[in-house]
Amino acid sequence: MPLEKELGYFNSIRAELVKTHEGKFALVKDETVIGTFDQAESAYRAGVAQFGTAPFLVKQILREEPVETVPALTVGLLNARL
Amino acid sequence: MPVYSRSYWPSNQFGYPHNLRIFGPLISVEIGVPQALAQHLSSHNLPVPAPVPGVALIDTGASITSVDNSVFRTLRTQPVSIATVGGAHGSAQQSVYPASISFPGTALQGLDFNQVLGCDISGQATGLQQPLIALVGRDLLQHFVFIYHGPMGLITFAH
Repeated sequence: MPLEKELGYFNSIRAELVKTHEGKFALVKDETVIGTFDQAESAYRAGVAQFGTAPFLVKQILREEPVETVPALTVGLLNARL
Repeated sequence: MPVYSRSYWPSNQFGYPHNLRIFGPLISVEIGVPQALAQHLSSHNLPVPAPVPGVALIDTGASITSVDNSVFRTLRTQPVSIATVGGAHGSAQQSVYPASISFPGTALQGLDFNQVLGCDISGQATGLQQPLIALVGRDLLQHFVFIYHGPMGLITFAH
């Protein structure tokens, strides 16, 4: 899956980031935090400006990973595969 | 306040207000690349992919909006994050893509940057000419007033 490297790094430093940047959005490329931003859109814009169409991670800095729910897909009510 | 209403009455096949119950609350959408990416592509003399038109099903049970993976293949966009999605048998990690979402034929204001799940909802019947390409979750609905009027076969959006 794309961005696994960036996500692994983000998770490894999540506790440290939470101490000073909880709620903000981190822009991560490879194993480097490029910056933190108040809005996800700002982080994305900075990522595009710096990396163009190359992949980069935008992730909100939270103590715990939120779990999204899409029952129509996960229960199989639609013919969907996530 | 821009308002958009879709009436499912009269029904063309099942009888009022059956279509709203069968197909659910639907709205036409166009899904494109965010403005930041469009500007980057333009500044490098690269073509900006045209927005992909289709139909979205309003899914108040979903915490996040999902978009069919074929849309991202057409737009040639990279994932921008990974989300954890809970299910009946545990959780899984899924790619998250950046997307602009607009509502053609309405006065509703589009949203330039959204982080949406990639999924496969191809082939789902909508009763309309266009295919289902998105499930609109509560992350988008938080920007709107949404009224589901079952007896009248009517849905209304405003923001």
